[in-house]
Amino acid sequence: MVIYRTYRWLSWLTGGLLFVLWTIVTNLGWVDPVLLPSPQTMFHTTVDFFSNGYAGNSALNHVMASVFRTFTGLAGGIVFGIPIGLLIGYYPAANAVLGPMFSFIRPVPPIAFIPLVILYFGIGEFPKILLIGTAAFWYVVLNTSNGVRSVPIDLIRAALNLGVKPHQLVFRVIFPAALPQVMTGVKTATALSWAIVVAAELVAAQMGLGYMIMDAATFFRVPYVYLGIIIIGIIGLALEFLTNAIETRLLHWRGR
Amino acid sequence: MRSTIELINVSQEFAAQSSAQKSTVALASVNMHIDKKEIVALVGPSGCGKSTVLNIIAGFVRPTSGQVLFDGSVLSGIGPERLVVFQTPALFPWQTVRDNVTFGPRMRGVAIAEYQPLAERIIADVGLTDFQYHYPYQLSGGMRQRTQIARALVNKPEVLLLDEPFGALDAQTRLEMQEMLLGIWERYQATILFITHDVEEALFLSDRMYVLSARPGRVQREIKVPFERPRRYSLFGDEAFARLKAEILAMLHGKPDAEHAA
Ligand SMILES: Nc1ncnc2c1ncn2[C@@H]1O[C@H](COP(=O)(O)OP(=O)(O)OP(=O)(O)O)[C@@H](O)[C@H]1O
Ligand SMILES: [Mg+2]
Repeated sequence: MVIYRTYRWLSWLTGGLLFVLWTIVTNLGWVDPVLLPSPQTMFHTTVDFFSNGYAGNSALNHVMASVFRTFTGLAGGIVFGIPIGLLIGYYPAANAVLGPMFSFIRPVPPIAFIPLVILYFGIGEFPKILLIGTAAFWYVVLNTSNGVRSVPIDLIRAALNLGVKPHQLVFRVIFPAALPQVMTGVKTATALSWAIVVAAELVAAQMGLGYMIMDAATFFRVPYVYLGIIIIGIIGLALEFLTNAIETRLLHWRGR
Repeated sequence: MRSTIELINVSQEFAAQSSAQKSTVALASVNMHIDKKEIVALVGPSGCGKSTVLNIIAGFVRPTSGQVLFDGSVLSGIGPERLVVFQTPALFPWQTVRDNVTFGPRMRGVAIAEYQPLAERIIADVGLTDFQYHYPYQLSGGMRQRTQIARALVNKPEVLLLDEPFGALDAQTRLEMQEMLLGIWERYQATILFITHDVEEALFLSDRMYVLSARPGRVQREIKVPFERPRRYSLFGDEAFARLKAEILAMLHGKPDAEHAA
């Protein structure tokens, strides 16, 4: 989101007003402090969380558990998704073989598979990473293959004309030309992966931010629920920032 | 002398894509030739099959019938000895001008020492030395066409095939580009086929021109362009030039005075 410099103070103002409102309603007892803790409580909870952790695990352990699952699954989805995407984008026959299956599975919300993967693989790391990996995979495959199909024919002809070999055509021309779309897939997959990891941890985990908010809610430790949500939000924002930064650096030429 | 390119009774029919379409006969029995070191212009009404001729010579499209000879033998597919300069510049947007220009030799595994000096000279010849580290999106339309021309020349092609290369440029830039092309033709001894809808451009640049009829395209007339080289812009004011131009225009529009053409 781009906000013009001139109006940036308005954004700060909104934030500031919300904070003041929050302080007032919680400190004057207008809301139940169990359901909405005050800023002071939140501050103490944060300090406590980062110094003593939660439920026997340090703050870093919880955060890293979620981040590790996300990145491992995402990396797997990308590493397998790009070649398969190139394949089905380039060869209509490969698309005919795999396309229908992909288009059936992809629209199923990945969360719907959580019970099934737990049934198959239990509640360890593998089922969560598998779930994230496959969800990321569909989006990378879909965008990569679309990207390949929309490479302008003249660009391919120009390359063939200059004497490229088939593997050079794929890796030196088609892949870079499709990269903007591949990147769109990676960005979607990243956002999605972060959502799925939290969902998976809500259901079955001993560690992680999703586990923390579920556990805290069960035991009425509401400030930890809010803290978990805030940290999840911040990391989600950071992931978006990161993928956008990679995109603008790598694809400064896109769309022009 | 044997022609560099020869088209013998070349016809091209494009099949219908759906039941709502009819098949298109783009070319009907086209005969033409391009000799070594010649500049040949191809003019004709829109949709008469000019680009199709070029695609056939480049090997992008295989003609439905007829024969295409290259240096006397049957043409086999696409190759860097016949290079196309596309109407809408088909540059690799993720590469700098310099990387675009050296793309062909790099992909074919030519030694750096062999193509580097040539690439530098050609980039200078097309006037892009100061922009060699720029990306295509940072260039003007004319510069993009220069890059395409340089990218082709580095491969020392026998034939340059240009599809309305200057069609999208303003009049001033077009004149500059025409001059540049003539300079390059003299320096690099290329054989050139170019498509244009600008009769003046065709007369100014070419040794011979083919006028195609409306679809299905066939050679309506072959015209030997009589003006001596080197040509100057003063040629545009020449009476013979104006007369020939008027005749060709009349021919293109199917007027009766086409009968008096040279
Ligand atoms: N791939 C294709 N499939 C079907 N029809 C085609 C194809 N390419 C060209 N045609 C048809 O062949 C005819 C000639 O096309 P071509 O592009 O060669 O014309 P042109 O003379 O270059 O026209 P312009 O001056 O407008 O560029 C047109 O009627 C076009 O519809
Ligand atoms: Mg055309």
